[in-house]
Formats: sequence, C-alpha cells, structure tokens
Amino acid sequence: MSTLDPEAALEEQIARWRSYLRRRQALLPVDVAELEDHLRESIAGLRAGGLSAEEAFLVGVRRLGGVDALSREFAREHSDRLWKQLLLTDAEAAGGDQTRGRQEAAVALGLAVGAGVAVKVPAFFGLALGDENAAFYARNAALFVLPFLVLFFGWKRRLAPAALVWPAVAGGAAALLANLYPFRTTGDTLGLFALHLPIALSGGRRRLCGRPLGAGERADGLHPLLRGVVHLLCFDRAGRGRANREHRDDL
Amino acid sequence: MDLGKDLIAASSTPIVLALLAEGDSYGYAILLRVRESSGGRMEWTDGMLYPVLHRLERLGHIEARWETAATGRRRKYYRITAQGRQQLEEERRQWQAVDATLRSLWRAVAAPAPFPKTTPPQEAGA
Repeated sequence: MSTLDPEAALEEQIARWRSYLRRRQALLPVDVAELEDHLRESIAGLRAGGLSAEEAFLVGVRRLGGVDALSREFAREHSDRLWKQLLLTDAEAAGGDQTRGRQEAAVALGLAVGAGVAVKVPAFFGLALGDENAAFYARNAALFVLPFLVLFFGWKRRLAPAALVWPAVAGGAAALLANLYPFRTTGDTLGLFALHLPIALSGGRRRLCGRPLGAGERADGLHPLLRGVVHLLCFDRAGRGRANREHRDDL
Repeated sequence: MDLGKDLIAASSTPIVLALLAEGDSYGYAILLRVRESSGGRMEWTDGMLYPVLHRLERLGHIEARWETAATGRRRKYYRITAQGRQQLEEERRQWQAVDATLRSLWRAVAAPAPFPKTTPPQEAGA
C-alpha cells in the first residue's frame, strides 16, 4: 500500500469502511452516506490540525464509535426497518438496486424448494416420512434445512466460497455423529440430540448472518458445535448412570 | 468529565433542538457546536448523534433535506419545525425545574451537616 499516494489510500480505506457499514441491516444506504459525509468532514478537520491522512482516518472512525454499538442504536431507532428487511423488499426499502431484491426473492424461493426436496430424498431410499422412521428424521431434521439457510446467508452477505468451508465441515461432522452414534430409539439422548443439534449448528452459523467470518472467527465457529457434542455425551453418561442405579434399586 | 449515559441521552433532545433553533445545520457541525458550547465537558460519540436526529425527525420536531455542496458531496441538513420549537420550550421548562431543585439541594449539601447536633439528645433519652 506504500506505493499508493495518501489520497488514493484514504479513498480506499473509506470505501472499505463504507462497504463494511452497508452490510449492517439497521443502516440504510442514506444513513451510510450521512455517516460518510461526517467521517470526511472529521478527517478534513483532523488533517487541518496536522494529522496524516491515515491517522486522521483512524481517529475519525474511532470517534464515530464502534460499528456494533452504532448499528444497535440505529436498530433501536429504526426497529420498523428490521421487519421490512425480513421481507423480500430489502433493496427496495433501501432505495437501492431493485434487481438484487428480486434476485433475493428468487434465491430464497429456490433454496426453500431445495430444502423441501431434501426432506423427500430419503423416501427414495426406502425411508418414508412416517412413524417407523421418526428417529431418523428427528436426528437429521436440522441437516435438511440448515445447509440451505447457510447458502442463503452466504449469498446475501456475498461471502467468498472459502468462508463456507467451516460450516460445511461442522455440518458434515454433525451428520456423521447423527447417523453413526448408537442412539437407542426410545432414549432421552436422541430427543436431546434432535433438539440441540439445530441450536448448536445455528450458533456456529449465526456468525454468517451478522458479519463475515474473520480469520480468528473461523475456527471459533466450530466451538458451539463441539460444546453441544460434549454437553450431549455428558448428559448421556449421566442418564445411563442414573438408569442403571434405578434398575438396581428396583431389584 | 464523563457524563453518565442516561444524562447524555436525556439532554441530547434539548441540546440538538436548541442548536437547530439557531439555524439549519448538519450532523458534523452540530457536533462541533456541542463540543464548543460545552467547553469540552460533553463528549458525544460522533455516530450516536444520528439516531437522535432520526428520532427527532420521526417525531416531527425537525425535518431533513439533502443538499449538494459545491464540492459535489451530498449533505443532509436539518431544520427545526414549529412543533420542535414548542418541544424546545417544554424541555426548557422541565430542565429549569430540575435545575432549580438541584440548586436548592446543592446549597443544603454544601452547608455543614446539621444532623449530628440534633440527634444525640433523643438517643440519650431512649
């Protein structure tokens, strides 16, 4: 970056900051434009006071406040927007390009159909959706839906495909565990697993929704899943121990 | 001096309305005026001003318009409305009531404590 002149470097930093703010649901493009005007004024004032372009940028951004705190304040004031953005008119509400909004509707519908088809796939292999296979569907319920959610948010946040590697690994590990672990069909462990798997996985994947995964966060994304697995195994041990004791008491 | 969050939030409405009553302005200029007129005693996080401005706009106390500066940059200006001026008067009355109450209490606090002198005889009787 040292080859760039300070003005170009500053513009690049501002552009990066702008695109970072634009990923926030609570901030509309007009808000980002207003904040950018503020940042530029602030930088100009600081440079007039003797700071270099880079220093002025850092101080200016710092003075604007943390992006998390800022978008929380905007979200509190504009709670109506968050609802609007849950609908399909995201880009229209923002006054931005409408094609992205329509694309989003199409992608969401396509992925929803995909999830619907995925639920039906096991039926082709003789596992019809019914009471006799309830345990199979309970174990795998989360795995039918979450991959499509991950794809949707990955697309919406314009993540690089590489960022989807860890969610895919976590999902694969969860699928292996779900189908290889020797659950008893009537055991509590199965119920606990079925309830907690979506939570454990979405805990890891929620990171996709709020912000792009940073280098340090990628490995961390696995953490809730691992915690969930440990949690389950402990529960299972305790449950079996108790069951054994109760069995002995009966004798 | 670090003012508490609640106090900053509560005082932001009359401060912004009072500054806009002087004339139309925009975010950065409002912030400079706050810094200047408080003598640096009030440090706002710059970004937090905007949710305040947007709230006042939603309530109808101020109205906004975009203008293009000579440099080609677009800037959002705010203007106080008639309703905003009424609100400012109302805020002024409320803050003066708080101020008057505190002033009389500060005098009592500043005076030497009267309590130890009056209480011991009663305790001795009991």
